[in-house]
Parts: sequence; structure tokens; C-alpha cells
Amino acid sequence: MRGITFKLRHALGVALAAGFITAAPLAVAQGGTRPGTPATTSATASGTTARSAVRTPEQIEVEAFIASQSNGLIEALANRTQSAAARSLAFNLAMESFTDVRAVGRFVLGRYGTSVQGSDFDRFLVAFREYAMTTYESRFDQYRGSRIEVVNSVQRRPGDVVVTSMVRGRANGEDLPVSWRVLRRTEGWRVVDVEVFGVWLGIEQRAQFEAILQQANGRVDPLIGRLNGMTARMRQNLAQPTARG
Amino acid sequence: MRATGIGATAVACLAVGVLGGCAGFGAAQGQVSVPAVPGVPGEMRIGAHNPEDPFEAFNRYNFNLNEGLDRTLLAPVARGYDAVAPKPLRQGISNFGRNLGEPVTLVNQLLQGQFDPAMQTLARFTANSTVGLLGIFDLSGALDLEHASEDFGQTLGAWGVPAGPYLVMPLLGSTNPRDLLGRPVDIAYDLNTYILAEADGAVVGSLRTLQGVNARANVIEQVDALREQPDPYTLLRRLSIQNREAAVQNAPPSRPPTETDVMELPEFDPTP
Repeated sequence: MRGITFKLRHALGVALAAGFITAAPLAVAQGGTRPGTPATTSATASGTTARSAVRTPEQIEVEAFIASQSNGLIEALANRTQSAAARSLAFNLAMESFTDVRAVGRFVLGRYGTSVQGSDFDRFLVAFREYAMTTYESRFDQYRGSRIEVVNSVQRRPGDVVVTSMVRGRANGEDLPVSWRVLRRTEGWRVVDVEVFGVWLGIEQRAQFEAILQQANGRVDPLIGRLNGMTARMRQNLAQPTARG
Repeated sequence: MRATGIGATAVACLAVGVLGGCAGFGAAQGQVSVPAVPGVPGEMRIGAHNPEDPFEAFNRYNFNLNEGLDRTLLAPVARGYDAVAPKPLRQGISNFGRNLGEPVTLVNQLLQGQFDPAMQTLARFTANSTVGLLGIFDLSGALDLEHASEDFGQTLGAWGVPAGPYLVMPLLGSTNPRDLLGRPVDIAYDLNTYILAEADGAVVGSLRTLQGVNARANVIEQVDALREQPDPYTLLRRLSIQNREAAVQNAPPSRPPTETDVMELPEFDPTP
């Protein structure tokens, strides 16, 4: 039993702590090196990054986008002066200008992304959007009073930037590093993935969705049913006053 | 008495097995069993072979078995225990079990040539076993002795032995052939083994059951969170493999992505 509790807590407590995802595995040390771009810095062992001396205009732009939009989302979700319906609407509107749900939906289908098309994809996207929004709504509540501070960014290539931030002022008093992958779209910058403790939500969801699709011989309905069921349960919990505190 | 001991040990193993491995099984880190996808059979469909998980049908079957045992037996007991057991008692039980396994870490650190960490383990074990009242109290913080966990599976990994395919075993939980091979070696150095052999069966049974329930109670929230996943099995497989690899490399259990990690992220948009 040695170390189990600690490691499991460390691994999965991430999810509970972060609120962005309902569970999360550990980061894994990845071997190998790759030359970095001039405008990047390396993470330190403490989990923080030293801000690079030189940043590209895109990095500056995206850092400002995250600083503004992410905190706006937290405010929208944690606004207790609004009714639940109004808060949900405000959050959904804020999310529209924050993330590219359609692209995320395509990404998380993984290798089935090309075979799930037309109305199947549209139905999946509705279910996925509801699932994702409800997940955020059910978890972001934990972030009332917290704020996100941008720490650094790495430009992978033009139009693809990863911003490192720190969530401060959390209820448990512990700062939490969170990274955001942001892509340039025609309508502006949009977040397409979120990382907590080395775990990228989209990549992890893709692995799970692929497994479900594989078991269903590529049929999307079992996945939609699963997502709808999970959304319904979360909605049920949200509707219970005791669950909301 | 023996039957009691075995039964209780099974409960203890289940507690940890559901979490990934039995009684100090190194591969146990971060493992829990969670339900399969509703509407999707636990067995893989014929022909749906997953190269990342060649024994997926076998694994999912055992995964569901462990999950059933946990839901019907262990989790309800753990929830009751969680409601009544005071934190100092729970911490003491955790400390006691961990201390008994310290010789396993010590031996494997030496086998891996980690002499300084081995000396720390020895100092920690000595201090906790004496001043710490048989390990019930953990003095590592006060003495600035960092905790470590090594087993023969990790040692084999450090020696270059590949892990082999991912496996889920009944009661044991997530593992791999390398760790299955390593476990019997560790048993020889695990003081839990000798307590089981020498002590009264009822006492041993009670102790092991308590350890198992305690371990399960410590991860109630985490297991519940995992059960909210679309496909918990897949998440846990990935987590298990990654955790184990990190343990072999003595890498931090988790860390934010480095620049290298970021540069190696997959392309997001499909290639035209």
C-alpha cells in the first residue's frame, strides 16, 4: 500500500482541485529534447516558468486574451447575484468567444473524426457541448474568488500558442498551475485545450472517446448516450441545493 | 484462523487492488476500478484490437469484476469508516503500513545504486520504528527525510526490462508482467509478510482489513471523480502506464508541461 494514497491523491486530486476536468491522470516525464524557439522558456522544477525576455506579438496578444477571458469566465460562473439560468446563459455566451467547441469536438473524436460526419457529428457536438458546459458549471463554482494570472507562454508555431497561468486565491489556499492551448481562428484567438498538472483535457477525452467508439464499431450513438447520461446526472446534482452549498 | 486471515487479506488486497495493486504492490499507484461504459459491453468486440492494450478484453473483464467488488463490499465499508474514523487514527494506520514496507524500498534503492536515498530510507525506517512507535508516527518531515517508494518492478525497469502489456488482475488491479514478476521478490523484504506468518490470524486479519479499508477511505473523492469519466478504464490505463514509467524514472509524480512537452503536443486541426 506504500505510496498509493499519496500518489492517487496527487494524481486525481488534480481534477477535483482544478475543476476543469472531472478526473486527471499524472503527467509523465517525457524523454528526449527538442530545440526550442527563441521566444520560449523552460518550466522549472517548482512548476513555474520564468517569463521569457523576448515574446512575439502573438504571445503578447494571447496572454492578454487569456488574462481577460479566463477571469471573465470565472466571474460569469461564480456570480451568485444571478439566477442559475442567467448565470448559465452568461457563461455559455462567454464560452462562445473563448473556445472553439466545434474544433474541439472534432479533435476529441480522434481517428473517428473523419468517419463521424453530417448529422451524426452535429448530434455528437450538441451532446458534447452540453457535457462540457455542464462540467465547467458544476466545477467552476469552486473557483469563486479565485483569479488567473498569466505566467508565461510558448509559441509552438504561428497561430498556436500555449499560455501558462496560475490560479490564485483558491479556497484551499494552494495556487494551481494551468496551461491553455490557444489557436488563431478567423474570428480571433480561441482556447482548444486546457492542461492541469501535465494532463491535457482534450487529449485525455480523445483517448476515452476513441475507446468508446471503438467498442461500438465506430457508431457514435453510444458515445452520445453516455455523454447525455453524464450531463443529466450533473444537472441533477446542480439542481440539488445541498450539492451547491 | 487462517481462513480469517486469508479472507481479511483478500479484503485488504481488494482495497488496494481496486486502487491498483495489493499490499505494497508498486504498480498500484493511482489505480482504481471504475465502471465500464453503460451500453457498451465490458469485452472488446472481436476484431477491435487495440495495439496499446492487447489484452483489453481480459483487462476490462477484471476491471469490471474489481469494480463490482468495490461497489458492493469495500466502498460501503470505507464510507462508513470515513464517517467515524478520526484523522489521527487514519494517518497512523497509513504510516504503520508504509513503515513496514520500507525495507522493500531500501533493498531496491540499493539494487538501483541509489545509495544516498537508501541511507535516507534506512534513517527514516529506524526513526519511525523506534521514536515513531513502530511507524505509527511519521518523523520524516521533522527529520527532513524525503519519502520514496521503490520496488523490484521499478528495479527491473531501471535495469532496462520492458514493462510488457498493461494488465488488470482480479483484486490486484492494474499491473504489468514486469511488476507481476517483481512482486514475489518484494514480498521477501516486506515486513507485512512476516507479520502475516507469525502473528495470530485474527489479529493479522483485522489489521489487514483495517489497512485496506483505510486505504480505500483515503481515496473516496478521487474514485468518485473517476467514476464520472466517460470511459474510466481508458483513463486509468493511461494513468497507470504513465505513473509507472515516471516511477521507474524517478520522475516527479506530476508537473506542468515543459517547453519540450509543449512542442511535442499533437497537431490540433486535421491535416487538409
